[in-house]
Amino acid sequence: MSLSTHSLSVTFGTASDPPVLDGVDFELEAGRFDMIVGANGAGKSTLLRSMAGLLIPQRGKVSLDGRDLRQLPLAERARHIGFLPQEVSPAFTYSVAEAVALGARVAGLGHWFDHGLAGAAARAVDQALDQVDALALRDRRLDELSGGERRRVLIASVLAQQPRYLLLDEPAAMLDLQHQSELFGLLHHLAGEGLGVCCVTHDWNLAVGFADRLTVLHQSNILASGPPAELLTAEILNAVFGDHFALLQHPDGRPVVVPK
Amino acid sequence: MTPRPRLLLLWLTAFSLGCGFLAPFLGTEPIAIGTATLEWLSGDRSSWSTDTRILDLRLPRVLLAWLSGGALAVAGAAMQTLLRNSLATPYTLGVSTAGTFGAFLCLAFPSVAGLLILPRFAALLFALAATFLVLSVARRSHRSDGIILAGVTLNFLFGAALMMVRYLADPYKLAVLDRWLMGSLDVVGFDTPLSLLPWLAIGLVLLMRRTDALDQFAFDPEMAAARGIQAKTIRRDGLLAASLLAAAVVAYTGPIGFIGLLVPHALRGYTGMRHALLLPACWLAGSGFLVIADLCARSLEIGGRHSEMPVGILTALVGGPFFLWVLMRER
Repeated sequence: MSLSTHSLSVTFGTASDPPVLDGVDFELEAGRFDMIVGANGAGKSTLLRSMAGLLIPQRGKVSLDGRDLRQLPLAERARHIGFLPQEVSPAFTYSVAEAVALGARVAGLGHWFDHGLAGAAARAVDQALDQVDALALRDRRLDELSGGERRRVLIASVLAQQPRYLLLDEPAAMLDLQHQSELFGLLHHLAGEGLGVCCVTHDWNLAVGFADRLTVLHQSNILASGPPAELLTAEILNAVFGDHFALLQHPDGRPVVVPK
Repeated sequence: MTPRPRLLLLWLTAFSLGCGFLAPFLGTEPIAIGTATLEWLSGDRSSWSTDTRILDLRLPRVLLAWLSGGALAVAGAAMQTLLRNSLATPYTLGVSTAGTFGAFLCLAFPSVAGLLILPRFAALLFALAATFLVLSVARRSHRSDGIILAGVTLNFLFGAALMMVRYLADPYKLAVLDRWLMGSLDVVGFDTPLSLLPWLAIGLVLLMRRTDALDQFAFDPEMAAARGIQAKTIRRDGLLAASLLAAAVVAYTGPIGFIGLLVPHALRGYTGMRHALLLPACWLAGSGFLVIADLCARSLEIGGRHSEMPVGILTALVGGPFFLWVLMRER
């Protein structure tokens, strides 16, 4: 049971432009928390969006449990894969419950008339909010929430789709340290419940602290992939950022990245 | 958002139908409802009293107002969702000025217009052509606001073309041209409102079939795409459907502004962004609203006489300040 890319190549613009991804093989397994790191422009978001079925690759393919993603009906794809982009900016006013109910509708819950706020849909909304510890926010307006609360609600909206794979593009961007830590703790917990969770992040230290597997993207391909504590070496850091960072040892044995 | 959508729709239906049924009996000459209705239903024109003759004149006008108001409000709501801008109107893509230009061409130069025969066909043709033009320019633009900018530019372009037609037209025709610009529901007979119906039906059905997709698109286009909605397709098809509604109304009435902005804005707080509720609610409120606006316009006394003012002037006078108010208090 996995969401995988096979020799995936994606190019924006014309075919003569350099590829953003060049022959990437990546596998997200159910029940595992994967994080993707890399420098800006390495292709992290492109990989995630390709896995969500939002980009058509020039070569290679994305497969869901062995089936080519492009052969899957769009509605069925959405029931398996939940995707949260880096920026979500509703142009209108939504209550938290309404925003989450939109996810529940993908799972086929929500009646023509009840806004998805009654019956099975309401229960799905409450359950998703409860999962991210945001049930108390149910009746608040989305645009009144803090950055951290808003992120949790948006994740609840994706969870309400009841997907098996959760893809998040920089979910911790603009969150303070405590909220980042809480968010990654939550994602780790969701993976523990059987979801395949994959997120792109720029925070290598939090990635090392929470991810089951770390993947480093560099120059359009995977530079290294494996358990974070083993994978993170000075050579990897050097290859990605040059000689600007050093590795220290956390008291619990984890490597920690610091500027030189 | 209201927790009682059924009740909301019930109230709006009562408002809309109530306005539609009562308005023909009200105005500068109030009519006795019972007698006039019975006489009119009998169909024997030779025995009609003056009241019944007035009723017969007013009925098509009220029906046209009811259809146009509903269509403009629905088109406005859809346009706002699809352009992701709560200040968009049915005319944002240039439908109104392009349609008016088409009508002007026919009215000012009947021999040049040739095959187009009726101004309303020319108006519909140009309004839809403008929508296609905006969509095709936007498809080639890399800017997210490309579609709105293309619409604004087209508005300017057709505005200048309008002035050109006015400049070149026979001065005796200017009064007719200006009357079109004001947006009026002055019609004789049921042919006009009834021939508007098929256009509106197509636009409405196209939008109502995609309400789920509109809901997801309104929240976030990229999330919608990940949720199985083909965002580009829904945007293109939705804008065409909304433009068809607006174009058909412009072709039959001339430009009637601000209903498409005012009504969805007033309702969204009660309906939320669930289009299966928002669009019908907009139709009901918009139809009732334009019927009342037209009743006011034809009943207003200015300088001691009944003005029979074109309704487009009134909706613009009310809607303009409302637009500015929304602009200032929007978060």
